[in-house]
Amino acid sequence: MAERIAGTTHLDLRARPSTKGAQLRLLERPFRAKVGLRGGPDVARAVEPVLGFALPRSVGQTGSGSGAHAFWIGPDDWIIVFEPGMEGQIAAGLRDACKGLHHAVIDITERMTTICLEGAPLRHVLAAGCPLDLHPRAFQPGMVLQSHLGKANVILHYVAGNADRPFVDLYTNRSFADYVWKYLETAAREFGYEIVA
Amino acid sequence: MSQKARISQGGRIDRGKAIRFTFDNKRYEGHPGDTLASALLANGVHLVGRSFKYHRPRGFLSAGAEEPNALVQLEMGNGRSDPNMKATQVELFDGLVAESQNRRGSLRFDRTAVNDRLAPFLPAGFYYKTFMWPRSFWKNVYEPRIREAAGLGKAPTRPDPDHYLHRHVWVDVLVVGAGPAGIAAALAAARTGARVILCDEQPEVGGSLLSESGRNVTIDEVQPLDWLNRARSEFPQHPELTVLTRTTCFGYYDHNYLGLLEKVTDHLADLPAHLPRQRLWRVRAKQVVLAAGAIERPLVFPDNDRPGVMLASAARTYLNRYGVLVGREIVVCTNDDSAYDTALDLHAAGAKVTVVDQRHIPTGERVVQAQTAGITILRGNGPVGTQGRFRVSQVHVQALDEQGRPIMGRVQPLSCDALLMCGGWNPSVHLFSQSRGKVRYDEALSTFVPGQGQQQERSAGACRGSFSLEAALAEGLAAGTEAALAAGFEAYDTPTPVVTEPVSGPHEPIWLFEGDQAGRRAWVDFQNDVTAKDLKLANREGFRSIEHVKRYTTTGMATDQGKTSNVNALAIVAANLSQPIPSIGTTTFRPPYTPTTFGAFAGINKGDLFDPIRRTPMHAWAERQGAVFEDVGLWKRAWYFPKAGEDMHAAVDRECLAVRKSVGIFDATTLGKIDIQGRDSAEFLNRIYTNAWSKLEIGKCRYGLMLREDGFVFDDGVTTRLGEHHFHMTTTTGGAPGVLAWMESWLQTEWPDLQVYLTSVTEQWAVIALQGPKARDVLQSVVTRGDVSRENFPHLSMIEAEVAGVPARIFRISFTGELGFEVNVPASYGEIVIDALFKAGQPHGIVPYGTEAMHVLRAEKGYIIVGQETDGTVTPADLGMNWAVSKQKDFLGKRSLTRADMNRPDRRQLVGLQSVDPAVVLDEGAQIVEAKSSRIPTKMIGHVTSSYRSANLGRSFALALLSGGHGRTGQRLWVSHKEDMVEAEVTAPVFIDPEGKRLHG
Repeated sequence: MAERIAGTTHLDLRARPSTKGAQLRLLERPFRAKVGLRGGPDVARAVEPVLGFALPRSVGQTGSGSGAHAFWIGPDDWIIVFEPGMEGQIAAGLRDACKGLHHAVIDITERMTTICLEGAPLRHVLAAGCPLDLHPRAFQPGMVLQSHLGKANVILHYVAGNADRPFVDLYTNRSFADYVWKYLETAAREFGYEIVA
Repeated sequence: MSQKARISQGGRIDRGKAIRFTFDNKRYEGHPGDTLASALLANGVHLVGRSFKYHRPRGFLSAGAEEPNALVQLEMGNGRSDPNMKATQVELFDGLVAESQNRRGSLRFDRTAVNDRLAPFLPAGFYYKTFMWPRSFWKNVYEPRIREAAGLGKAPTRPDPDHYLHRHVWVDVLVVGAGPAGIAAALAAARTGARVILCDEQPEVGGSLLSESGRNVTIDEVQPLDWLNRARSEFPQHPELTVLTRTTCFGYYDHNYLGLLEKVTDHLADLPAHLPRQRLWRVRAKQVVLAAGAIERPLVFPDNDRPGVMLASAARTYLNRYGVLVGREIVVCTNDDSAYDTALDLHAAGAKVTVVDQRHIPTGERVVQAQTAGITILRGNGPVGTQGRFRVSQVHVQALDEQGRPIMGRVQPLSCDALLMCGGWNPSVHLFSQSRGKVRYDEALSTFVPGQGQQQERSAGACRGSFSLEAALAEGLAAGTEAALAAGFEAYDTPTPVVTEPVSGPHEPIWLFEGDQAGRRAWVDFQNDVTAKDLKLANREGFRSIEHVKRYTTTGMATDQGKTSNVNALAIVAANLSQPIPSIGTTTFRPPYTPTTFGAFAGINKGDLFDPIRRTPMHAWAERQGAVFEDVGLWKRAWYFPKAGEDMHAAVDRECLAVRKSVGIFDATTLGKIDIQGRDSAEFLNRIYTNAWSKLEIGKCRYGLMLREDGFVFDDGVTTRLGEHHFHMTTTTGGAPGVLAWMESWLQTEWPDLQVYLTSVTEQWAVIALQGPKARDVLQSVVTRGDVSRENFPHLSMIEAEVAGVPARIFRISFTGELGFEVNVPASYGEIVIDALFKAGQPHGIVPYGTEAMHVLRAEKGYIIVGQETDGTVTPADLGMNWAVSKQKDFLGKRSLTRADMNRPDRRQLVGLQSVDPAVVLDEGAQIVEAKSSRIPTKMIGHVTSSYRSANLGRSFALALLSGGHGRTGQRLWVSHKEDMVEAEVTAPVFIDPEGKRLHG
């Protein structure tokens, strides 16, 4: 029976070895809405009323409000994420707000997937393949990093939590989910992990 | 009796537990805390190896990382076999199996030992001089034999069963070496709150303190080991201090990037499956403190390489750390006070000790202590020879004159079962040198110390040439404090530890003792078997640069990188050339400091994770249809879909026929897709593509060619106008990232005035191609919204629609020459939609086809594939595609197209080619010539770019690039084929439906 295919569907996560109650938890949230927004400061100002929060203005920053997050990707480049299913509505709202301005609004919901990590070992696990500084002093709640995990481009969003129990969302292109998932499992082997599927 | 050399108490071993291990098939016992070396010595085993070239019996020279002799092969079963491990660094575990290396027969009766008697015929450069002819012998005769005779350990033959990980880490201060200086530095830095890593290759921190007996030395009024315990107990108070033991800093690279190798499980008998065997730490450090210690220099004198001859400090380590007395009757030859510590400790442990000091009037406090203790001291004497086959039994010492030259005839033999030597100390400047720091010669120490540095680092203690404990602690403290300050932390004053220790007298080196019997061999480089004679020969033959001497003699070029030999070799060469040592120069040290497993560098990047494997959302569907996949870049693409009993040819034939007769379905998801938005999008496309885009209507598609500045074809694809200022571009599968980067670079650097935004949407969409005369019938039955009728949906147009209830963009485009549609749906719906289309196609005989059929079908129509028909030297005109090149507007590469060479009539041009024998399928890449028999070198006039068997044509056909090809239609030429030539006729490069009627079906 055909179903929507996520980045890790073929891995059958439910059937993979998993340690219940492990400190580290992994899951995929494939269909979170993601919209790319390009534009200058005028666009940033124009979309603020639609989003209900200000777009971040410099590297590493995010803007957040009512379940949505905006990631700074470049000086005129943002990715905005929402609950699943909202991509059409949000994209339309943003386009309306940007009318007449040089901008681009593009639905990239299906292009990327999200792998959620939870628990203290995640820093060490990500550090197996990510060369950026993930220490609690450098990577803090509300920050976003663009980097790579091994050979896959990733965006790391420190959603919430603290040094003892961080929640980090990893965004990668859907066809790299297989690689990223196996990479995380291998790097996490020494800590143990629970797959939530 | 087992462990007969083990003393009854003392040391850091656990005598309560026995560990069994095997060396050369013989079983022994040791204790937890032992290395393989200390356990073998405890069992009285001194003979542990054969030398590299002469196969001389060899024993332990050292107790650490500098060991050149005691290399063993560790056999751990299950494919685990590690060659060339230094026994001095191998921690003992229960069941360890070690084998000596480089011998034929047993260690005692090595059949290759005859090399030693052939020594006069095996001087430096022997191989270069001897094995010159006949040339063909080198590969098949000389090299294999030489390798066999002078081999190191055996490379493992089975796949490495272990897993390895990397870890990236950023620190404020990295401290390398956990001796007194390193510990002081790490604590000073950690107290400021800085992020600190303290690493040490040993299983526990302490460095030289672990080898201290505590005699006459106190730190802050307590014994050194008590101070160490106190320091260790402070570690947990600093949450940002990470102490890594069994961790070697092997490389110091640019921008304070350092590599550490942590041996996680190598010391364990039972390997926990969840742990990596080793971990490579990739450290970015704001500041580095090097506290790597120093390595003792051997003395160079005749026959100084016998088992039982070792460094004085090593004997002290074996005694104080491992509780092993390396001999009962010990002679210590020295020119430095430090060896007296060894003499005093050995004496106290009950050995009969004689010190032979080259210095006529040694003045240090330790000398006085030794004298007081009743140790015999022969002043103004040096070693000039030894006896003893498998273990030293006698040393000949000779009186020296004021200049250090042996006085004729004044030789006396001293019997001994261990001969210790101390020629002073060399600071471990390896990492400093790797960091591009320049070393400086220090006359007083007769060695190289760190000079001008290049990176954010500082050395402290022995590796800086400060050999006293007091200096090590003070410098460590200062270095750690300074490093933390430089990293932005506020340091507070920690008082310098108060140290009491004996005061040393001056060190007076003599670099080479030759004695009365000229011509005896005195070893400089133990691992590569290089003697002082070899150095002399090299100098005599004209090699003066130390770099040339090194390569000619191989001194310092073994896996130990000359840790014990480099300075001695330099000094001897300096003497040979009558030059001061600093003018000879020094060699540069390169990573790794000690050999590092390939597995650790590979880390996680092997097997499944060697490269990402990208799958489309319809991968599982294709698997269910029995697809065989091929790799296209990182993608897995369905190649063909064999039915039971079909081979590839049969499957591809069936797939190709179905597409032309009924309908085929194909996964085109991997095509690159780029979303282009902004007021200047059409103008941007005008500049990027060779053809014009301004007038393309909304909802229409157009094929475009992209050139580089040089005018050669770089990519192609169909681009569609979605809105006034909105386009959807497709690129080749492999070209997608390159095209996006190319366009971005033009936008950002050359045309920042253009208002255009580019976004990759390759993975946003699943793309299903329906191709064939029945394509519309199939599509129509599944379209839930949208008009796909012939009248309202012409070739090269796009509609927004809904397919099987899923919102879709349907493009009417064709890469087969048939009526065709490409259905784009959000990626995750790909399988749902392809399932629906495939089911709907059943009554029409729908057939899934793969990339191979796709290639055949497009070639039948003469559609090029960039990278197959083009190779970076092909213009649109060469391809007969001037119809896609605008004469009016400017575009990238246009100017280059007007160059004279671009319009040569004999350029290689795209043609069709049909072998005269229709059954012959030409080889892709085969060369084309004018005549079957022609003079060599034959002029090659072209090559085959694509070649297939075609079920639709009922024969083979090919595409080729042929010199002046457009004017050669009808000519018969010859094409290389296997070992022969076959005749082929030039045709137009379109084999099916040249008028293009089917496209508009």
